[in-house]
Amino acid sequence: MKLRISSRFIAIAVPAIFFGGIAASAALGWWVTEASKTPERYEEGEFAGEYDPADIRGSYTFGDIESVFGVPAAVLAEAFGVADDGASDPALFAVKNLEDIYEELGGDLEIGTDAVRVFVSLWTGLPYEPDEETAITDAGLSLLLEAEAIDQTTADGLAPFVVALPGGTVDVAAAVAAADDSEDDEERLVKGNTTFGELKTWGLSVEEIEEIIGVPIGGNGDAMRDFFSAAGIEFSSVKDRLQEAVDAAR
Amino acid sequence: MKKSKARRLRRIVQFGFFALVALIAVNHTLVEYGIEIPILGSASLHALCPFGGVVSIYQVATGGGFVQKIHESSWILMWIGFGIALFLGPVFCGWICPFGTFQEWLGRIGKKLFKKRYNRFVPARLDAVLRYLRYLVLAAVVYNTAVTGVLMFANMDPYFALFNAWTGEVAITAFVVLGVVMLLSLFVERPFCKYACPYGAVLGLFNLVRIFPIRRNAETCIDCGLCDKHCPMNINVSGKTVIRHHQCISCLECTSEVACPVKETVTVETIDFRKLGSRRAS
Repeated sequence: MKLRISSRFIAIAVPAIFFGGIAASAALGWWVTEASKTPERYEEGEFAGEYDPADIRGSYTFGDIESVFGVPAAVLAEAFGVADDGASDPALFAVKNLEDIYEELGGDLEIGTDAVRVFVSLWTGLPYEPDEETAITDAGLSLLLEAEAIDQTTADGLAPFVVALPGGTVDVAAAVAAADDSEDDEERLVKGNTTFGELKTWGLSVEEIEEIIGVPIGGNGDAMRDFFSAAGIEFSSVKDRLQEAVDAAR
Repeated sequence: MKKSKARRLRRIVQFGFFALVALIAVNHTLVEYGIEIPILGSASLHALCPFGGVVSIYQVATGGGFVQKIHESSWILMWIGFGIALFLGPVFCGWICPFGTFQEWLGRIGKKLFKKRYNRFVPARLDAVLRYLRYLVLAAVVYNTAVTGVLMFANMDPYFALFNAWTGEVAITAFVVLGVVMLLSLFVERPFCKYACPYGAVLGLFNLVRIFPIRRNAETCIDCGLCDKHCPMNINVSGKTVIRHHQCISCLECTSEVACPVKETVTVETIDFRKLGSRRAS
């Protein structure tokens, strides 16, 4: 006795097994096609249990931030000069696009993912230690004052970090289309999602990395922000030195 | 079933999966503009590629989670693919893979251009050696991904380039590989599958153990050689009784349902359990 398979059987069974498998795994909650957009929470102190703005990543959209931190996407769009023209939803704007849009702006100061963390921190009152070169937009500062999220004294203290946005606003759709989200393969930027494996391929030895970060390195697949968050180290405190080492190794 | 109908069935399934993947890729871009094709979802192609699961095996085994851009979905698809391959061999390659389908479509142009010479350009000796190249590609991709934790193959992946050409996410090297594969497809049937596909290399190994291999009945075979002629992977079907070649893609083109003119001579079937039982008893 033999069991024989026909073309008709394959044409029906194979797609059925694929789609059935997907449906079954989805029903079990196993079918996940994107990274979790839930940031880490503070583990101790006054804000223990609250979401930590330090874990906002470039892949988060303004909508993700609104749902987690309660900062309206429209406010974020206004603070960072991203147009709400009705045709495109600012809630879909990914934070990582800011770095490309404002690449040439602000001299030594940068408007990027860290600027969003700072804004969210100031809006919500949640503590966050920003990078030294992180900027606050003039529009963002005005919104913080209007919403009484910060007082004038705090605003005065932030003055050296304020950058004026260019006239008009950036169109969301155009910005999203123009921004290259190819993980900066050629630029070799040390970011929160950079892995130790990438640092090694960029020419840094284990010893060099450990000398900079002061602790044994994580696994090759461990991302910087996750690793430092777990180790209780502020990523921003070592980011610049890692970047310098990467640049030197090129 | 009529021979043309059996072939058409495979082409319908291939077209269906190609269209589905193309629509999902387009939808992934549209979602960024606030438009979404209903039902399809907005998953990236990385999330829907079973090979992403394969390159994550080391990292998952060492407790590091998935490689960047790879998610549970790839892991699940990998296991579904392995499960099917255990029974039927690399059906994924022959029936589902949109990039294999794309190469076959280009191959039809090559067949019109070169007629009988098509898919016979590479000298047999060279071809036999080149067939193992994809295992080197597999080893290189798996090793580099394990070391870096990053999806290294994306920068060379012609499949990713084809379905993401408009996104600005594709590395120039991937476009170059895509161009080379497209050009070669005019001369050789499925060149990427034969010589470079790392996922095909993994699935191909299942041919060695698959429960339903392709079998040729030597008693009824008339040695016409049509099975060999129709095999897109240039496998010598007529010289074996059980086809366990590592490059078989289970397309069934060689079988009595399609190419073989003699009924029930080239089939996909298990061993004869009765014979096995009587052999064991004796």
